[in-house]
Amino acid sequence: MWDRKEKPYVLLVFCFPAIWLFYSLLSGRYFPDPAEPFMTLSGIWAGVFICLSLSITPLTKKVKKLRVINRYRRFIGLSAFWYASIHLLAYLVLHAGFNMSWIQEDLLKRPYIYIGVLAFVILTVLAITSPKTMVRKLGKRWKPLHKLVYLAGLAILAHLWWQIKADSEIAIWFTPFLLVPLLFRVNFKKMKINSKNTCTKSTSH
Amino acid sequence: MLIKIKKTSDISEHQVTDQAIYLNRRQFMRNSALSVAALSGTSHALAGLQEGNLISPPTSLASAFNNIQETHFGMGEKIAPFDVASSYNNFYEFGYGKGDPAKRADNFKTDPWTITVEGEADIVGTFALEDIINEHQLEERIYRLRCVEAWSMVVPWVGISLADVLKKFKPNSKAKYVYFETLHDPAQFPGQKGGNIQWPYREGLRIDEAMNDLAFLSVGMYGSVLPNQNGAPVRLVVPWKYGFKSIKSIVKIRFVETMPETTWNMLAPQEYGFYANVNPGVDHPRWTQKQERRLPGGLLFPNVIDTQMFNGYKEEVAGLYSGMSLVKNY
Repeated sequence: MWDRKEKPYVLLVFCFPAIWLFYSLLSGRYFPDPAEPFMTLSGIWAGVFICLSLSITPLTKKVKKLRVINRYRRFIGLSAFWYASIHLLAYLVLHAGFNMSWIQEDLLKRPYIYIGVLAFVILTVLAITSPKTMVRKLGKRWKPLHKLVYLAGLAILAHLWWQIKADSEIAIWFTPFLLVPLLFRVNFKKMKINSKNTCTKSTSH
Repeated sequence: MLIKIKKTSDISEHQVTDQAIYLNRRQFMRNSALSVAALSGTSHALAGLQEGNLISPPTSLASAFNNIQETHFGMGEKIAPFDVASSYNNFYEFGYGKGDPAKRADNFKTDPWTITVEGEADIVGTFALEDIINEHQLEERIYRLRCVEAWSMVVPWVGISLADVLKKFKPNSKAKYVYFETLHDPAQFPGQKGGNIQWPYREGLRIDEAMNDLAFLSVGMYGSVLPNQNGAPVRLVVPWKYGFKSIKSIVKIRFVETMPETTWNMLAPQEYGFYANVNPGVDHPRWTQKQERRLPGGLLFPNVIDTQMFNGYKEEVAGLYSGMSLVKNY
């Protein structure tokens, strides 16, 4: 499936936003408070890759020609984890300056932060179980485990909406792209359940 | 006195600048600004930060700005570079981004400017800004300004004690609060064309808060007039409250009997109260207020410091709130 020659280029494309982020940070473009732009941008990129990741199954099932995307699944998922890690690191270093009492306060009392942590924990678990050896080890349990990405998507939505001060633009933009792929999957399952029921429905109602 | 009793608003040794530099600071800032500007052009890198304000005051205020009196406020505090204070602003009239005001405020017209004074006072009417200002001696006060978003800067403001200005209008006994309004002009303020905020921006203070010596009516910073993005040509600086109380580009002052509506309280009453005193003991519903980032930070690590009660101005203002629950009156 994978053309090994292709990998470095794909890697470069997915890493480009990160390269740009770090270049901007170190060259002082985000001065005087690098926390804000860096966290916002890294968060946006993580969200973008999550949306892509969620869209793969609906897209490849509906449009046969797009099935070629399937081989990028792992890359897309891992990129989401990569940008989420940068986002978390930015929070710890740039925003809180590794100040443990600030971080503790936030973790205990800020819903939008601990829901973000939930999303990150899910992504970490998915990242760890993404290599082929783990797929083999987990066998039947791998697929249900990786369905947790939908829970991560919902957690991310809450993370966005719960922190709005006056500017709801980012939350508004992400909502359809996170919800629609989710809804596609739900309808799919409902259809399956309905088709099962028509066979066993009794006529006494 | 042999033993110096420190006021909580004084800062500690390591934050003090060299005395010689401090005394000649305005001269030093102007000279270094000119030489830095000459050498580094418009670079925004750490090395080339402009220290002083090169904007020229309008002729109507020129003589006032040539005669600024220094005060003891913030003596020796480490001031944010002018570039930082004038390019990182929350001024939603110009857009939600911190860089939007500096980018979009170029053509904002600040001269001529009038302020309408109305309400419970003997002297009301519409006054030219210079007529109000030129009756007083301009002072420089170095104040800490702490945003509700948990960042802060130390800025050398130029202006007049708000109390001195308000007293001239002779507010009567019915004046329990002072209400302020920003200009409403969507043509100049693109952010006023929509958004969740009911324009114009409104703020208010209790009369005793407004008459407290700390409350400042500012017309300048760093030795000259306010850059447009900082709320030109006239704004409040209420340093013991969160920054959103320090209303910018004021066009109206009204003395009122009942607590006036204020923009952020209208937008989210469970998050932003009328008093909005800086208080590490009362968190914002969605983030902590126990700490803040003093800007500018280092390249990677922010300068995280503990937030002080009343932003370190406890001695001057705590008395205003004795007997009041600051948890209820957030």
